[in-house]
Amino acid sequence: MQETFLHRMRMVANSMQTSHGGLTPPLAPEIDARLRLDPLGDINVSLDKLDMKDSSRLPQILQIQKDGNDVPISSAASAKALNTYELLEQILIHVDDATLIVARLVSKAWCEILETSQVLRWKTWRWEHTYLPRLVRQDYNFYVQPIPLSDSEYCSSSSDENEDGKALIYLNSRGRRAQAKLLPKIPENPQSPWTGRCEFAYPYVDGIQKLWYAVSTIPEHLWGTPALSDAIYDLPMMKSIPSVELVRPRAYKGVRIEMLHVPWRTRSQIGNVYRKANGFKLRDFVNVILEHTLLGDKLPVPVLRSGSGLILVSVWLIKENRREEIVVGFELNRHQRWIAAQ
Amino acid sequence: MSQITLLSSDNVEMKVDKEVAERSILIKNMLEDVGETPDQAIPIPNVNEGVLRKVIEWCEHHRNDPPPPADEDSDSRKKSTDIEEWDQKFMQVDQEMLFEIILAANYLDIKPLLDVGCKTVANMIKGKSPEEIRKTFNIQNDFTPEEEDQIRRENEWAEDR
Repeated sequence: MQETFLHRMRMVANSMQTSHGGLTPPLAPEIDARLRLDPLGDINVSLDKLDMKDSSRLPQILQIQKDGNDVPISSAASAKALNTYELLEQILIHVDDATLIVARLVSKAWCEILETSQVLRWKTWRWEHTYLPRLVRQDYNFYVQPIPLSDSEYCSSSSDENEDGKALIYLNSRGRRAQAKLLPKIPENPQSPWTGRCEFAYPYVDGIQKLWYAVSTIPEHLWGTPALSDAIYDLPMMKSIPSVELVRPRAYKGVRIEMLHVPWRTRSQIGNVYRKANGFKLRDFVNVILEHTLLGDKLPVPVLRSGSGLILVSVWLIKENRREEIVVGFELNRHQRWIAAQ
Repeated sequence: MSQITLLSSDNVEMKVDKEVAERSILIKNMLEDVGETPDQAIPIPNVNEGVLRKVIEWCEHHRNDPPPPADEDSDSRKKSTDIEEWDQKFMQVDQEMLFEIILAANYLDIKPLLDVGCKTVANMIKGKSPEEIRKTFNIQNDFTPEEEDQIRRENEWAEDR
């Protein structure tokens, strides 16, 4: 009786686990070959299943145990977890970008995952595609941190429908500007029903904050500098801001970050806001970026990526002829409805 | 409240409320598939007694938490490395146990526990140099000097001046 029940449980567990263990997502065949967590099999995964057939590549603890010596510092469990691609990926996702960028030097396995995982390539600024990695997109869709848009005029846009009949929002570019002018403006009356919100999605808010710190702390005599100069990083204020660390390497060694080129108009705006509010807030900087991105002539035309009301605006950074981006999200559903209601 | 018995890999039986055990999606699905509350112990052959007790302790504490979203798209796991205070204390274990919990959470399909474990390890990695990471987890540097130089050159842009 008991054997029958146990057999059934094993069958059920095996069928549910299918080709991969537990929470880890389905693996590509070449990755799946690394380590298959047999759900109800023997817990003692043999070393050859750990994708470490070459004993010289084993973590020392495993070698020590095999040799019968003592002083185990690390554990077989850690070796097993850290050598499982999906688990290591789930761990590294939570690590800050700056640490990850240099973490390729840890070992070949770490190097491989940092070079092959979409989300980790994104986090380490190695993502070269014009679309978002899947996990980043999920983050983007979920982690929104609403920030009231204090000056909604920056959100003017035009709309259209794509082949599927879904509404598309076109942000103003030079070609669209004339058309956009014909569209109804968002009411300026604070009593109006407009409740547009500008939302930032983690982790992009982090990127924006870095830009914000970088721009807002540029001393006046450096305003208008074509790119962040090394001199900026010598400022005590900049050195004391951890968040600027990722901007720092990007601007290092002649890398031009166009977004941080502060033209006169933006400079003036920052100055005005600062004087008015006695404090230039991230929110204000958002507006600067919005204006910069949506209405600016000099920056590349922002890219529209979504027809679902969630708009991604690319702020292009230029580094050695490679375009990279920080994506700012705007939730314009209400705007869409407002336009539709006119 | 109905209870079920779990059988660890080292053949130790543990009674646990069904509701608590069902924090594990693996067990939940197994029970649903079997269609009855088993009067025999459910074997958990990948998890030993010590680890299983820790996992059950976590499940007991979080028994009333809302279930994690089934849709991975709405998964909130990656939001930050913030860990609840209780979970932080729960994870104050030696490295062996920490990774055993992660493996068990992965095997038993307990997403929030796996998440807490991964965040805890991530916090151990944050701010560390590659050498320090290797030392922390006893990872062998398997690069040749040439390969290491190559990666260092590629990372130059990110190095401090």
